[in-house]
Amino acid sequence: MLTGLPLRLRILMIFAALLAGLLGLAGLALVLLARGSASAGLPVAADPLVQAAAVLGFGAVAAVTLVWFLFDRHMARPIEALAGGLRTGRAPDRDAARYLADLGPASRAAAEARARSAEALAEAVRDHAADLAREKATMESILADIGAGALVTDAQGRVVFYNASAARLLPGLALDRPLSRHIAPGALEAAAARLQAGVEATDLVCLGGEGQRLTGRMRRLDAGTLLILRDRALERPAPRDALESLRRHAATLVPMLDALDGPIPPALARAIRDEGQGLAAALRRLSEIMSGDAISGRAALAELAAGLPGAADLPALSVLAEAGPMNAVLRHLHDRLAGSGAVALLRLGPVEPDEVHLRLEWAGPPVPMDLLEGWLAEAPDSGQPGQSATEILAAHGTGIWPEAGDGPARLVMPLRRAAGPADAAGLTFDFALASRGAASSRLADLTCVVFDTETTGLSVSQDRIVQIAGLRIARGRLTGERFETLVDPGRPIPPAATAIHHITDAMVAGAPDMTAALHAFRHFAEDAVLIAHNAPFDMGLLRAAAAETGAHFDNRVLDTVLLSAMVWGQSAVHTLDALSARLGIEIAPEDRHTAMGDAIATAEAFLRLIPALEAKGITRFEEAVAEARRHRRLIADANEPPHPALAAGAGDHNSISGA
Amino acid sequence: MAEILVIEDEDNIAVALDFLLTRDGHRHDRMATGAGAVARIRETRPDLVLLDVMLPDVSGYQIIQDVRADPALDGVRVLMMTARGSVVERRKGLALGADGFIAKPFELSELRSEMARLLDGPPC
Repeated sequence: MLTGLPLRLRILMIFAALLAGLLGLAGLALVLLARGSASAGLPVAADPLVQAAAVLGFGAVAAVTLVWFLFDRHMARPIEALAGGLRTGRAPDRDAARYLADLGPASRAAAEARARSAEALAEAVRDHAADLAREKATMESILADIGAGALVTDAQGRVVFYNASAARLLPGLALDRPLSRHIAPGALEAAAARLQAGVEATDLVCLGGEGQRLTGRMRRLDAGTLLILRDRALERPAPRDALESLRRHAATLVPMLDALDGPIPPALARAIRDEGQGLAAALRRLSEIMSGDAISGRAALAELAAGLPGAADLPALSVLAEAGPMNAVLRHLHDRLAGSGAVALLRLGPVEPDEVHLRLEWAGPPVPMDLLEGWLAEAPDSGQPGQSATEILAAHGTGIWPEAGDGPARLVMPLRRAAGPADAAGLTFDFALASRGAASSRLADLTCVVFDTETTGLSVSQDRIVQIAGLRIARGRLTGERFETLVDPGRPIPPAATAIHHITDAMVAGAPDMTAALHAFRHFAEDAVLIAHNAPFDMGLLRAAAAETGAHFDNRVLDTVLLSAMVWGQSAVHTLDALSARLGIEIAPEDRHTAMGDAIATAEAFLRLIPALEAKGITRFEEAVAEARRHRRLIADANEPPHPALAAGAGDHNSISGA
Repeated sequence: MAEILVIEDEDNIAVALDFLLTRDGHRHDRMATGAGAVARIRETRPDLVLLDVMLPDVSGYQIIQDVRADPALDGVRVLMMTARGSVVERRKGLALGADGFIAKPFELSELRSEMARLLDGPPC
């Protein structure tokens, strides 16, 4: 029963018991001696007995204490130190266990062996993890640049992985969203049925969300499916029909031409004219097919401009082009210009929604066309020695020519802009979503869009949005999916508003209007819980615009002002700056009061608030909403739209958000 | 009635243009090469130049570039023609200063409407 006590305490108790026993025996011996003397009629000498008892007693105490002290110091303490060392893997000091015979060296050897094996194991794990990380990075690169769209769904058909090509083919694609939202479900269901019939993989042809034709292959995974998709538009249509039409018109026309020797009856003249027109039309059709979008490559301007002066100043835009040959054409022209004494810089001309103009500019006279055509007849790309610059440009559906006008002499090359964002993430995935099971309302499991708006002013009913940004969270993590756009408010932005968010009228000129921007954002935020800091303001703007735009936001809503109040109480300051400071979130000054900067800070705050809320027993959305009702005096719950009669002015910006 | 200079190396197209322009009552002259074209334009000041792109010596693009670079030839209207019927060729021709651009094969109605637009329009 004493085994549960510390070793040193037990030893102390043993020595204490020994001392007590000795003192007891000594006392008993003295009592017996005194009684023996009395019964023999001998006088009892009390003083010597007491003295003997005292000597014996002190002697016993001193001896036992000394032995205990030595035992404790040289045995008990080193044993405890050895045990602790063995538990933590630390080798004991050489001097610490010198009275424990071989136990000290043995335990030291054991600890050192254990440390060596732990180090070896850790090193092996590190190497293995590094190998895995390298393999993962390589696989990610392959999947990111494979050209085809790749996406994985879980057993419920919800997206858990996609690459940039898939995002381009299926605009609005997002994690944790049903794939059937983006691909007409009929073909998906039919392909899934074929997989269930026992095949491992099956081809499918389907329609994308925007009606485009896609071809693909679906493969069964352990829990879900892998889908590889290609845009059929990239496959050049067979010019068969146009060729047959050409042949038909030529076949009809040629024998009729023999009749031209004599007078031509009106009917024959009409037939010749008709056939000639048919021939021209068939030729035009054939030209269109042959000059169609043969280029499937996509390159950043920086790739096309590599090695050319001015490349560093180009913006991050992508165009439909093969980087290698087009870079070779530009460098070739640059070199030829240099050979004729013109030092050219590469610059970006006008950027239009579907086209950009690259310019080679120099101070000096323009280059003569015949000289330019001669340069373009040369093969600039060592990788394709038989292909002239003219052929490379034609394959890209473009050309390069001198542009007249004021300023420096220049050559201009228009290029088609690649659809989709230039900075599209290579891969977006969270395979843990697949193991989450049925839809959960736990805060840590929610799919959310955290968003923020910048506006022309602080009135929900009077002012308009000039910028909106959002980012998605799934299962307690940022997915990397972002939405950001300037919005043309259709009215001048007051200088007081520009002073805060630095968005000017010039910046929003040409930006999407409210209708286009809010429909796009609604698509991005569909099915997600919307989160904002001071949500009544931002939700109020979205709801106030619904009548004009037709974009209705009936999402569930969380407000980080309210979540903050649940954790720190209503009396604390709940501005985004104060909340960020409490949670250790840093916002760069230049990002503050930008929609994306504030949305990022709000998202970080939400993610860090989740554990604090869970510690207070608020783990589910419903519990957060119920708790929010207790803070109505602070701010309204944005899940409850204001009464129409009160809507004007309700939710107007106040000092709470500081935004 | 207009004074038209046709610069076209293909004889059959030149014959067809000769027939059509004569029938429509235009005076016209033809050059089969690009060499000396700019000098001829400067000399005769035609109301319209029908200029083919692909000529055996000097390209039509070089000729339009030279015409537009010469201040003495301001206001000369040039309609370019090419069998390279792509949008890029059209953009290139217009960027170099052509007033119109038609792709071969063109229909008579298309040629007539382009010519009418250039001949009846304000001076370039």
